[in-house]
Amino acid sequence: MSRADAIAVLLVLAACEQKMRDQPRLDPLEEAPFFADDMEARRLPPGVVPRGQARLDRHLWEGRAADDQFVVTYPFALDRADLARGQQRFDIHCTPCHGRLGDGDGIAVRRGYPAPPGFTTARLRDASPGYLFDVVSHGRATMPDYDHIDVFDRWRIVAWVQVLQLSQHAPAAVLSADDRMHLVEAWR
Amino acid sequence: MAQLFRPSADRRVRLVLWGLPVGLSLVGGVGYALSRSGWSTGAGRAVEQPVPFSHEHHVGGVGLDCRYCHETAERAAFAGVPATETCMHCHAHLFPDSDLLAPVRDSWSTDRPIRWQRVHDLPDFVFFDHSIHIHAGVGCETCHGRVDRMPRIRQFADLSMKWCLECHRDPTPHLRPPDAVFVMGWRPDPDAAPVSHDVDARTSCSECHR
Repeated sequence: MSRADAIAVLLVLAACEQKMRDQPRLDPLEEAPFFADDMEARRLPPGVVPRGQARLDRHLWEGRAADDQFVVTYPFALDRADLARGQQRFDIHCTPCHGRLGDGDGIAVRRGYPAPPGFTTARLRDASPGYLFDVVSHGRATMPDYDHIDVFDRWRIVAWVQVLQLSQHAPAAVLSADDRMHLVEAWR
Repeated sequence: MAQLFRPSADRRVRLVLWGLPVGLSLVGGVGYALSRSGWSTGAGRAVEQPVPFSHEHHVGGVGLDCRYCHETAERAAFAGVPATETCMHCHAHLFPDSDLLAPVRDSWSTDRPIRWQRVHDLPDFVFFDHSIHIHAGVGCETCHGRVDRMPRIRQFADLSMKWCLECHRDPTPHLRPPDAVFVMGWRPDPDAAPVSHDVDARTSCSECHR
């Protein structure tokens, strides 16, 4: 068999390989030797702002007003659907430590993670939405940052935290007459 | 002149005549069975991972929601593999000295990603999108199995086109209400009214092959 024959045979055999299955492109997070760090997912070079994504709205992105103080309002109007979304996102990302009620006895804490303060402590009851947003985004003490969560979802989570605070520390006077009756009946 | 064929030649001819179809169908049958088996499709296969991560522990035991780690599943084609940072959310404080977590700490300190190996790997000519399936009401479990019972993650379905089409032709029995999509071990309530799904599961070639 000549060398040309051998190459022909190899070419025929090579055609059996399913090349369409592995096409010369990169899948998400695939190893990419083309780049020095082997990563397909490219990071933005320092200082680059994607077109149209400048975070100019400090209220929305930082929870702070022009004078650097934490805002006491939300950057957009919230409705019931936003609260439901906030609860859902809270249950996904926050309950492992804070627990579903925010009292700080999530499963990670029961397994030894340093316990976070309960949401109904006096300091946190007085905290502004802007402060809570800042903690969600950048962490605090042993809490890591959660700024990978969508910025609107972070505000909805803040809203849910305030719902939890109000629901567990509301003066009876703000309840409706019906709810007060329920409370009295439950207490008996 | 001697006979060309001895009497035993008859037997050999019969053997070949019978043996050929039987043998061929046997080879074909075994080949088909192998091509459908997990040996070929990967169903049931576990892939060696750089960290012996247990979904059984984190989902079944700890109760983490799928989306804590696979956070883009609802809004992107790719469900997302957690960044090392996500592991360190907890493991900066929980089991911080464990040998099992050494590759995670290495990744964290050197700023190099952990090389997680894909388990459910579709061919490059299939364009699957997690988000549309989740919003249609397909549960994670439907395609990935009882992940909360897998100490080592395994490929669950055979990921064949036949398997895709079985659902695309009649999706309703495989769909869940929105709040059950991320639940493991969900079963429809037999007394509840059947949920109607406004789902347009298409079967034309270009839906998945572009």
